[in-house]
Amino acid sequence: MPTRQPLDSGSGQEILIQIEGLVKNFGKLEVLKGIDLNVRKGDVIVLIGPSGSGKSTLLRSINLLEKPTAGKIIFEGNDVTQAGKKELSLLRQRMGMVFQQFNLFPHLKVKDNITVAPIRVRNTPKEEAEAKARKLLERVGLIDKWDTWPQNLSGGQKQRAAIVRALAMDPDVMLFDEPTSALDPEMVGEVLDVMKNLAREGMTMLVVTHEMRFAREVGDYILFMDDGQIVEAGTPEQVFDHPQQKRTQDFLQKVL
Amino acid sequence: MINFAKIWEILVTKFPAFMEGVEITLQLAFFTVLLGSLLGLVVAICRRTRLAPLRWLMNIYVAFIRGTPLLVQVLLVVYGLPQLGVKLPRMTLCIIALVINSGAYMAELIRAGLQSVAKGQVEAAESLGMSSGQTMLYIILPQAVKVTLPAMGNEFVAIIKESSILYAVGVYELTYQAYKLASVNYYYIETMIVAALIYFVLTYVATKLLGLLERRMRRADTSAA
Amino acid sequence: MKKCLALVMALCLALCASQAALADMLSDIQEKGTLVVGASVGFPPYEFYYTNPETGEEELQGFDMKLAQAIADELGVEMVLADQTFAGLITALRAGEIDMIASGMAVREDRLEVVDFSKPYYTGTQIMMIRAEDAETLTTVESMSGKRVGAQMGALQATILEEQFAASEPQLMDNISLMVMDLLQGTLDGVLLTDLVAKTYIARYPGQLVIAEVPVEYDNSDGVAVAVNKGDNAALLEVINSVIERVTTDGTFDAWVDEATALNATLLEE
Repeated sequence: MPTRQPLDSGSGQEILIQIEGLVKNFGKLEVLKGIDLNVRKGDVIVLIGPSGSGKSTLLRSINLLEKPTAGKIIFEGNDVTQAGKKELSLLRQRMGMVFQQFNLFPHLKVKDNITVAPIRVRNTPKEEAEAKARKLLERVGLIDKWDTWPQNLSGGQKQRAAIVRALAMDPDVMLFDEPTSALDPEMVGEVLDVMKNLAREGMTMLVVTHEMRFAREVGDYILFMDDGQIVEAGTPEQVFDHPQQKRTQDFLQKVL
Repeated sequence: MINFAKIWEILVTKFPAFMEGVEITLQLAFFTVLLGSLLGLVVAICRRTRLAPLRWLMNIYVAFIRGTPLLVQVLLVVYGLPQLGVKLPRMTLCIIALVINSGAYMAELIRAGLQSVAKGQVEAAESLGMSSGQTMLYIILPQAVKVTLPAMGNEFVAIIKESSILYAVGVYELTYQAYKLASVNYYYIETMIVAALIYFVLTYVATKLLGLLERRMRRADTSAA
Repeated sequence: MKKCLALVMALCLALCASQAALADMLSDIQEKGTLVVGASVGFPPYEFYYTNPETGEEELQGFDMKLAQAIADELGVEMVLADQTFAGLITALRAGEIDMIASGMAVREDRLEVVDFSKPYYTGTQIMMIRAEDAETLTTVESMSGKRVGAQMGALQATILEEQFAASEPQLMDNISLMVMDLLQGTLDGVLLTDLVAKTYIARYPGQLVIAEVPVEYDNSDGVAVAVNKGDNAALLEVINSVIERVTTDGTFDAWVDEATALNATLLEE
């Protein structure tokens, strides 16, 4: 149910993202029906809910891949929805995004996938960008894929490379849009491990996922969405163990 | 009756004249594909802009070129431009005409190439903070060009053949050479058969070479592990 | 496509002709009831299309066509025009696609090797047409050296260009009107033409085009004649020659030339 008071992840320090009255319509279809949400620095927020509930749309609205119909998204003091082209580029550079289908650039080798944005967008010198890319690839165990084409990676490797690509821009927040949904079951673990490590290092994260174990283990705050609204929110214990709303209970019964 | 011995005789004795024509024909095809692709690229990108008048203009250009014969376009350019005060060598004017023609077809090919790039690629680029220009330049275009390359090769082969109509305005390409020869040796059909054979060798070899290039490019993609 | 079709047709006809050539050409023509005349129409005043202002109908005009018609009348058959490029006429004749050529074709030695000619019916004068502004400077063969000179592909003028103006830059083309356009636009500096043809263009662009003082030499002894295929053509040539004899002596032919020139002039005035 929508609340007047914005939901607040609460556990972290200062507010990083402030969402107010966010509405998104696709034609006549209302996908988001007025979302209010505060995301505090360092928090890991996991969005769960049935497909079509609007959780991906909410995530994609934050970096304006979807243009909201109404509402505000304040990120580090700037309203993303009102940003001009230059400003939007700067805001997006500080928000890393990971996609369900990886969306690696097939015409670029792994190293170039990672360094293309730092070099072209931020004018980072090539050596510096590559040094950083190596460090990040080492962290996710992919340094041996440095000179490889994306087509020759497994699904799990692709997604880890995609995470590194986003991290190479030094984002303040990472948005994960169903990062393991397109993976074979045996590869889900390696990607979740990378995400867990990130969370442990204090990265602010918003994650849309169907991995309930991951949500419970890593999430600071769980949002259950249905029909374009945040139906229930709270700590993993509150939402998973003591769901208050009938819709939450029904959903959890089906997926757990 | 066709004199088959004569075909061989014409080929052997007039080989230099034919080769002169081949050189011009290949030059025409090369410059046309090179400049035509650039023009097609510009047009294809203009057709994606939000500026409606520019889009319309490009659509009209493509529709007009595709809807009129090449020979008419050549005559319009070769005799129309000089009347507008553009004095250029005949060969240059003909290349301009071919480029204008080819650009329209290339624009369609490149548009299809651009459309073939998945939407997720644009989203990934934008999520990294790339501007639409950077996204086009570093992400969409390289992928689109790769998809379009085989079609560009076909265009090269097509222009080898289509440039033959330039004989009408006196460009010394292969058909012109054959035509000129036939007008004095009176072995019209035999001479044209020689021209046809040479055209066939040209297009056959070009097609094979392009196929080889294409395969090598595809292999480079998958064997780099 | 058209070229391809023409080639296929020519091939078929070539095969047929090898059979037909055995028979006497004259009786052949009379048997089928048509005289197929090859000409490259668009060469005023020899042969050109003229839209009659009174009827609005497009008429075939020119003294070549009048002569061809007179020959067909004499043979008692219908005249059928086969309009095609000048350079392809002899090949078409040899393939049996057409019965004769009446297209301002000058008798030339190399042509005599492959076809037979009637007696000449017209002697044109070959000239060099240039832009009026060059009339003072382009006066000799030497002055044309390095200049771009146009001539119709396969025509007498092409031979003259090659032999007499070897120092000029040759530009052979099919279409005379395009060459004249090139001359006007400065792409060409001179065009070799028959005087009658030149005069019609000069009438069309007064003050812009002139006949140069450049002497154009060529073997004029034979002039323009009707061409027929080699073979059993004696009877056919006899009829053609008798018609030519008649019209050139009784003034009919001169009247045709005058009429064609006059018609063409009105055409150009519009």
